[in-house]
Amino acid sequence: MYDYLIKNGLIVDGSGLPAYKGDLAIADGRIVAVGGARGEARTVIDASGKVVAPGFIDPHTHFDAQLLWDGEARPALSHGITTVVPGNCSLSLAPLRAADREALSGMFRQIEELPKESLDGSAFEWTWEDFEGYLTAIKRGLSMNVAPLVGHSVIRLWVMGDAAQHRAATEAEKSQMQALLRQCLAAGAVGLSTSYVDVDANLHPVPSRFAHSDELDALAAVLGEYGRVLQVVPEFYNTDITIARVDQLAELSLKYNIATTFSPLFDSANTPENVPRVMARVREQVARGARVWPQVQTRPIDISFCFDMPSLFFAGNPPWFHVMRSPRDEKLASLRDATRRARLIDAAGPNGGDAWLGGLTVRLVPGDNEGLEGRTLREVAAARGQSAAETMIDLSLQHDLKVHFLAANRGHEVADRVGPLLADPHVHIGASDGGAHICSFSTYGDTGYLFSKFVRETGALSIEAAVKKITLDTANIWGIRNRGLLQAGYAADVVVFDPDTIDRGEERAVHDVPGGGMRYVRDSIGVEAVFVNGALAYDSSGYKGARSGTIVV
Amino acid sequence: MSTRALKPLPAHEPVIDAASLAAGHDGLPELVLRIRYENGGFGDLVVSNEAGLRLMARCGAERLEALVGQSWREVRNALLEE
Repeated sequence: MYDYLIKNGLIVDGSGLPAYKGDLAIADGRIVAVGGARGEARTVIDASGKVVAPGFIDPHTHFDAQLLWDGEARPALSHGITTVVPGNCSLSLAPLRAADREALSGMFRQIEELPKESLDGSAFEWTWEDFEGYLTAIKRGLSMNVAPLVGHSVIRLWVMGDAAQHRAATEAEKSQMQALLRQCLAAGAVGLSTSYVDVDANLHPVPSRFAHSDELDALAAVLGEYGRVLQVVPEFYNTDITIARVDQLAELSLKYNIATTFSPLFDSANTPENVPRVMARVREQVARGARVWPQVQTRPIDISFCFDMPSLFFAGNPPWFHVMRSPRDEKLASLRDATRRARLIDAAGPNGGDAWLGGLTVRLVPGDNEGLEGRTLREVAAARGQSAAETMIDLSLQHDLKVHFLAANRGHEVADRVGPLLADPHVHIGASDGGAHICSFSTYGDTGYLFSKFVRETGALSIEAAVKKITLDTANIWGIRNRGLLQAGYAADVVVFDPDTIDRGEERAVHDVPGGGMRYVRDSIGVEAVFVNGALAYDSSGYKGARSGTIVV
Repeated sequence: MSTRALKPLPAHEPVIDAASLAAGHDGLPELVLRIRYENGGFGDLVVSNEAGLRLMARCGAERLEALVGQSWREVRNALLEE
């Protein structure tokens, strides 16, 4: 007797081979039959017209804290994500001495934009110091699988204390870090993450940035002992340095026989040579036998700003720039003064700045009694009988300069360039940053966007290729065994979706972060059912509280 | 309008040849600078919102075009202030 029999679906098995019509049977957490399945089942699901695929794997997330109060990593699970890799960018929540919790929380708050209350112990109980203890804490409520990275910065912090953010490690400290990393890998860490970019709450470089290359070499040697992965955030803002990091990762990969991945790599019209140059070096190093995987995100990049913080957004318009970088009181006075206000509106361009500002999306409106969030300035201005510039000023004044505005699709947005990049066999689709930057934009729904934009709309990838990229390829790169493929004996991580409608929903604000914090999310569209280890964890009626997730490596 | 005079432009050292805005992966705007070297070569550099604002302040610039011709030293110093 099967637990589930999914009948008449279009099987896209993750291998990249052509899809075919068939059935899939699940029993005891495993896939037991694919293609033709003969037998009775407790539950039969008719998947006619739907794709049946392996659960998607998101290799770049920051769900470390969220998993402590939300084992479904909402809304990631609803998008068909059945395995996440948290702990990226050198930061994980373990190993961590109790005395260092505040310091690390500051780094997390900086990256994830979480409110203080979400990490001060009121949202969950800090029951752990070591990595195994953290895994025990999250395992209690997991409805999805977790392949956790351990962060280089926290390993440094454990061994070096405050000195971790001031100097290179001694030989003895490097040996201690190696021993600590071994403990984490033995407990279930999928690899080590490090960063050359990130900063803490005081904008001070995170500990990993103080490491010399021999320290990373020593830690990579330990990864080699376990065959685990090294994730790196390189200086992605500079092509030459990124290429140097590709070389560095290639040497570590070859020396210790490990997989390495770096993120992000994104396309920009301002630096059109960046991606071609970096990819050329990746191909050279792969040809040498190295494993260096650039992670490329599917979604475009937006610019977000508010009047309360100086922003380069105004750097092209001197009158606005001058006001926006003035002290707060002076800024408020300028915005309220009729003469200076008129000058700003005039400087915004024809029709009250419609071309420059009209397309901006209104966001983060405190209280939002008027239902303004998500509407464009043009729409709000029309309803008020104002110009876009007037409306932007008035909204900001009404809400103590806290209203945010979003300029959408300002980078990584040219589908004709991004599509072929995503399809490149040397590219690892990832870098969603799920759970990070939560007040700036939604980091959920990149898989839906992959199918809607690059499979249905542009045809840059076949549906089989797109599924393979975010299932079997990801599992293979990360060494996640028995997942990413619809094959008898594999774990029953399965997603059923409508190929004609799968997508990400509109971005919307929710206030579900412990401590009263908000975040932006996107709901899933077209995802009909998600199974994690053989249990139905989500379907179109909602989350099921399956708690069938586990730690995978 | 600007109340500060632009810094005088250097003659014989790498200078900013072009400046434009770009979106950063964290949702903040970034400044893309094209540096022209003394030998005629070019290189791109992307600086963060904060460093870009410091650079504009250091140069007395209120529009991106005013950065053109400014010394690479201003870029370095704006970054080092981080």
